[in-house]
Amino acid sequence: METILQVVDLWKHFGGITAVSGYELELPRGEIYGLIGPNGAGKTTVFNLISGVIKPSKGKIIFKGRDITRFRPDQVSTLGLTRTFQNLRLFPSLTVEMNLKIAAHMHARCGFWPTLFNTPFFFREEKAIEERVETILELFGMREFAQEIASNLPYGWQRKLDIARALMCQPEVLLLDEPSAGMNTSEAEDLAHLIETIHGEFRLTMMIVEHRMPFVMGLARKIQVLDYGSVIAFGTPEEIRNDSRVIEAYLGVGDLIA
Amino acid sequence: MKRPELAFVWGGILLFLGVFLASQFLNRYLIHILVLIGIYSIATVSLNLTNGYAGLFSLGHAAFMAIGAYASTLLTFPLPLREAYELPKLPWFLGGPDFVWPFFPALCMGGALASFAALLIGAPVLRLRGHYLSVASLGFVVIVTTLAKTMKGITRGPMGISAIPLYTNIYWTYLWLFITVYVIWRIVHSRFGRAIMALREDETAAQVLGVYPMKYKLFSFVVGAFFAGVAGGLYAHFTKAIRPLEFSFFLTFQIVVMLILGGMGTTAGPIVGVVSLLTLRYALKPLEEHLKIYGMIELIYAVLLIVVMLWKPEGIVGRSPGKKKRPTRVLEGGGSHG
Repeated sequence: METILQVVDLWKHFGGITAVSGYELELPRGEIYGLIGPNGAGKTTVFNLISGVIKPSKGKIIFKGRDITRFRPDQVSTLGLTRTFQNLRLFPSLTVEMNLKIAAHMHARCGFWPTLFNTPFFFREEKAIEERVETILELFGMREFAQEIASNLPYGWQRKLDIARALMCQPEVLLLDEPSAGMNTSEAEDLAHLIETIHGEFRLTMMIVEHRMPFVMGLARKIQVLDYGSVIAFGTPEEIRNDSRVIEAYLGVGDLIA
Repeated sequence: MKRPELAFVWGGILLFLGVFLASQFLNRYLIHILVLIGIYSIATVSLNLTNGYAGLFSLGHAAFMAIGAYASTLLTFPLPLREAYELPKLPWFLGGPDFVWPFFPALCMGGALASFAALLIGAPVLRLRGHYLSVASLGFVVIVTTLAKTMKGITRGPMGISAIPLYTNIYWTYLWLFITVYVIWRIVHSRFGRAIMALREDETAAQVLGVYPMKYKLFSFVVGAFFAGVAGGLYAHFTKAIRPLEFSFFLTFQIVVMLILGGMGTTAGPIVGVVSLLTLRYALKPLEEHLKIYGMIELIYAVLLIVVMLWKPEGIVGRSPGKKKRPTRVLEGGGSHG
């Protein structure tokens, strides 16, 4: 199967600390991969590097056959790779509708002058954006919140809005950084269904960073385990569950118990 | 989508009807105040694009006004007076030695030069955030006023230029105010405005969603500067005399106070701020002169600013985010963390 996103020997140093050391990834189109690991293992840093938010010290990121290692985040997302954030980064004082509309930016072509004179082209484009917003709101069951200020939404809905907003970019690859953080179990189950739905509906390729094991084990076809910035295990959820290195990384070496 | 457009057409018609009636029936002093309100409104509405919508708290607006004022003054300066004012050898982009521009293109050129300055200064300065940007843009005001004081061949130095032809009237002023409000309003309700507001809300998120921050910051800065330049030009052709001193920090301060008081990031806020503060100024002026406490009005401005900051930081028109259009029903199914 075609590899849509490939990461080769990725390194990131912050001063004297090595956050990511030799990370590798080959993500086939249409798959959901999980990325797990203990706190501070470098999961979010890997996402930051891939999405261009920070630049790697060494290594290569190839997306759809193009080297995007030095790309700015807006260039990366325009190519079709976007992400969500672990610590929600909504546009807090704008409405849900506006949050979504902003994310349609990269697909809008209307220039300054047509905008100024409100030409039919501008009108059609705005209409198309509004229709897409409608579709996404419908899919997420958020239609009634369209005019709600984002920061007034209950937390679970804010999480969903973050994903909905990323979908407005019409990405091919979506990186979800702890989508179920702060949710209770039933909300998380709900979200898992939603992610499955959008995965099918938009033919997305996804990568999910998660702490909640059942969540990621249920969704991902393959899982990478990250510790100290490098992949210590890779395989199906079954294989990961029984991998001794993974258990070690999570629980520590059993010296005292043994 | 249809309704606001129509409102604009009607608003425009009503505005010019109002301006016509005002010019027919009001005395010169009141018209003078109305023109000032118009000019300050242009400046404040354009400042609102950067400071309100884009969240770039720039204090450089007076500098852009100065550039517009000097440019349009020089472009329209009457030929017979140039010799006497030692302004004979102007560069071509300021009209050249023997060509006098008509008022409208001169204003546009003033705006364009201000925009150009915004482009030059914006590229480095807009990398800064928050109060770093404010301080740097304030530095720009100092640079421009200092240049205006020292480039005697063009600006005649600290004594300034007088005998500027009086072109600005209430019609010109409100025509430009209408254009300004229209343009800003169009921008705000398009992908440009959305990108700009996204940057204000969360730059990283905006960038991950495909917005290139520098482009849209510069865009808002340049558009804001254009109308500041036009406001400066209108001002010069209204007061008939300009000096570098007039475009110092104090002018920026006044405009910023008007904007904050009215409500940043709102359509009506800046105009409400200008109208209320200038009305207050001219209402209190007789009192100030009677009591001989000069500077009383500035003192009141400053106190008002503090009071507003403490009690209604979103301004007269602004609504605090928590109060806007909440559905009355309980939000269900959202979870317990809300």
